[in-house]
Amino acid sequence: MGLFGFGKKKDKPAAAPEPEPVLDREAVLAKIEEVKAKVASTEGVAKSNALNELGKLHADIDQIDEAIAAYEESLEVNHTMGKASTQLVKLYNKKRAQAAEAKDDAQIKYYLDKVNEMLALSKDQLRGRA
Amino acid sequence: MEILQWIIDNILTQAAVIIGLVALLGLALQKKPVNELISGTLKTMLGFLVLSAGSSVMQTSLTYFGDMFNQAFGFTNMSAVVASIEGINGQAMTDLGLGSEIAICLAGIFIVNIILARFTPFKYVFLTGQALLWESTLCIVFAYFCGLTGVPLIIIASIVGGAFATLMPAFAQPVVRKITESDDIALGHFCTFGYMFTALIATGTKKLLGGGKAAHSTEDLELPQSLSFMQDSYLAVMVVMIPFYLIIAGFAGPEAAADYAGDVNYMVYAFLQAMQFVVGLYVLLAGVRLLLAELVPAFQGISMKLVPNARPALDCPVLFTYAPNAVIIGFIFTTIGSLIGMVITGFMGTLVIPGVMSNFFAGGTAGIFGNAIDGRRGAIIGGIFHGIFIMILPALLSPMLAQIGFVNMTCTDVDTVVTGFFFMAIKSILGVFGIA
Repeated sequence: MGLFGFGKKKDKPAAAPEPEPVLDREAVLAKIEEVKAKVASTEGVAKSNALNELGKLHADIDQIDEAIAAYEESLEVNHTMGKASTQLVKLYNKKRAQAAEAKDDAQIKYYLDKVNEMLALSKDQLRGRA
Repeated sequence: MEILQWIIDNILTQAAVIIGLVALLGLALQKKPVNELISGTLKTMLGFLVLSAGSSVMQTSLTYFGDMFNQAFGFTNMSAVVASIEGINGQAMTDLGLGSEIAICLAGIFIVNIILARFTPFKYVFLTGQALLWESTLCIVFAYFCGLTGVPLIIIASIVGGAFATLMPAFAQPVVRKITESDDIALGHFCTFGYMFTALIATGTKKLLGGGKAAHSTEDLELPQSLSFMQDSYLAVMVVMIPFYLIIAGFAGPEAAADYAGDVNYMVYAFLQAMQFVVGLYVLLAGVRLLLAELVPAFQGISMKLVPNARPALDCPVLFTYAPNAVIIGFIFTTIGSLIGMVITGFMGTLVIPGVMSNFFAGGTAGIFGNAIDGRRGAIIGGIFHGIFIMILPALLSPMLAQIGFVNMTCTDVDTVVTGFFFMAIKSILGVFGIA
């Protein structure tokens, strides 16, 4: 909930996005295999983009660990700021929330540290250090 | 009994010990092994002592700076302050003797934040340690100034600080939602009033000038991906402080500096004092990092466990990746705005020297807010107004800070300034009824 409901009206679309169309899991899985082939056959920025696509597909069908792995690899291939960093913060936070529900202290700490690492990385990237 | 009294009188009055005990409590709550309890406690105490050392170096340089300024421009009845929240924290924890209270209040803010996040609709847990330390500092300083001491001081300061830690992320969330296109994470950085002011200006430019071409996002521009001159932020602080010190020393003349400089040439001395300011800042921040290294992760883990469904309010770099160009534009135009703001503050009677470090982070984030509302136009115009805003607010607070005992210094992060105003407003309202 926002304070004072500032900008509530005009922000509504962003706050409550259109209900996502029901995903056909099989189709997504097939698409994943297709994108995996693309990842294997490309290099550099193209590979990083393919990995981002792969990450999104995994995230769509709630395969969070696989999505994280794809985005982490994408960030390794292409160190610039963008999709991979923003999605990783969200996914780490999701894992952190799951760990909190399960009262798993070690996992909460692990994913909080991961989020903090991303913040440090984004600072360094902007300063041209990473 | 005597031994206990001796411990209370001689050991528990030491801020370093109290801060160590707060860290020990945080580590013990996490059931850490004994060796980690000892090392964590000692490191936190060391952090406080390093911070004190840095603060004292910085203050020596600032005393010289203030004196030279008065000798050069004293006839104008204008004073000069350097905007540095780090310095304010250092002076409050050491010279004002509020170190223990600030450390306990930091823990208190965490607790109030957890309670509010758990039992109110504002599900935000503030996780940025440094920002909380600054907020805790201002809450304690102003509550103390209002006449509170001891337990009531800590309780009131923790409640106000905890409310700010919960409500500021909520205040920014409508725009953060727009930037991140989700509602998963929040912004935990006490410059929120500045960001929302930028958003307001950008809303104004959008209404006045309309949408269309001018409202294109900053991210369509081709800009370098990084600001390499910001690689070392201390270097940037030096680049700003050295000219100010030299100009003021030049106007004050050699006689004014004679007592300080001795045999050293007065301009060389001014140059070295500007460097000393940066040395102080460097050491102070190293101390802050050591101080928070054990405290913050301890409380972060606990709060996220107690309120699992809360949004974590994270430091501003979390937004940088969404619009890196807007960060660069926001930084540049906030800097321009703060130079304009500096001139205005001169006319207000207290010349505020901009804090470069906060310009980078606050300016960059303000750029993202402006861009989210009205594209590059919002980032540019909003950025300039943001720069002016974050100079005028600290200038308005500086007479009160001077009255409390701060030497030639004012705050940067505007939410902490608003905290100061909040306490002063309460004080005056109570004064009307003859209570305070």
